[in-house]
Amino acid sequence: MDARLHIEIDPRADLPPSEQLAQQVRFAVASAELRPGDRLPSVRVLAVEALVNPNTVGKAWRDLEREGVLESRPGDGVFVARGALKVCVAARDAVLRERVERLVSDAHSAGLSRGDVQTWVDAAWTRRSGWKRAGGL
Amino acid sequence: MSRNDEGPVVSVKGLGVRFGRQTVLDGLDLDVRRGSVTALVGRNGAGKSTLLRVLVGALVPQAGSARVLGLDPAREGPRVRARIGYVPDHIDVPSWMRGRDWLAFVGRFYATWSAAEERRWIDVLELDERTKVAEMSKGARTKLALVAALAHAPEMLLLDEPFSGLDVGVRHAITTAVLTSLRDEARTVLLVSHSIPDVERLADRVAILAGSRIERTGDIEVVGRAERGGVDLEMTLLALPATGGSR
Repeated sequence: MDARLHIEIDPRADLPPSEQLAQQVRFAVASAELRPGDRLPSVRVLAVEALVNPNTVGKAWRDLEREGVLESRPGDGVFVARGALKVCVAARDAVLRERVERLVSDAHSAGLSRGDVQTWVDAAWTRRSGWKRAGGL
Repeated sequence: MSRNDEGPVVSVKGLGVRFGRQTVLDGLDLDVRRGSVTALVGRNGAGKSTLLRVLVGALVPQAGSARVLGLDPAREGPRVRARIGYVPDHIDVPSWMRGRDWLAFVGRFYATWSAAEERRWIDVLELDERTKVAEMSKGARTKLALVAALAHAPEMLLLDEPFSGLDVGVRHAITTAVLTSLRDEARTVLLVSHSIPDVERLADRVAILAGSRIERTGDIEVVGRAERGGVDLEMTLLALPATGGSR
């Protein structure tokens, strides 16, 4: 089926736009929002939706093809590849683990305790779940 | 479409422009790749608008050569302008004119003007063309200028500060329209802008104008970020020497 993909690019973020795009696709595959065999929108269509230059989308697609997340079938379009789930789960977990490492490292250098951080994580987690129940993200 | 499907759409060599004793551009070289969206960035007074005015044939340089779509804008201005869409930094419109009067007036100058295209871009940009231009917001005027630049299906778009002084909603509407125009047809865009976030969305190439010439060109993600963790485009611009040129 044709994938419905909601991409948002923040040009001010640390990652360049093409990498933000690639990462959002990886996360979408990892959460099974995109499944192997799904067809992605064309580069030019997605460029208008994500408000980025078509070559930026093209670069993200090429990177994802190299990683085995996407495969292009000439004349037919670009699809989520068969082995994509495993690749994307690993990529997503690596990104999130690194953020946790950084958080713990920052907290540690600031002299906070493990308990402080755990309290904050629990509180944030509860708020998130609350949003979910209320129909948010 | 074009008679020159190969090679750069804009090719400038050794360009020199002086206003009186003031040197604005000196030995400037620039090639704009066909199908690219190239952002021309630089400090205030670096000569960006001056370069655009040379390219549309509104200003004749004292030195060097410019080719736009294979034509010399200084001698073949009308033929260049027939094939490009130009959004200047401001438009002068008689006060009695409504948006649609202005479009009807401009449309008469273009053999390839299409009423259907005009309607389509008005809709894409959500412009109320019945408003008097004098009463339009800055955003609405920019949208009007963009409709006028697109309705004759130009091979190239030249945009002079299309985002300046506009809120994010209007800036995104303009970006959407330009990207939509790229979706449907091969088209080259040369854009002057100070709005780095908008440039980083819309452009794939960047040319930095400093010291009266093009100091650097390249892919925007490379020049803009010096390969991850480096300085961003804004920092690159701030680090440029200030120039004594005028606009």
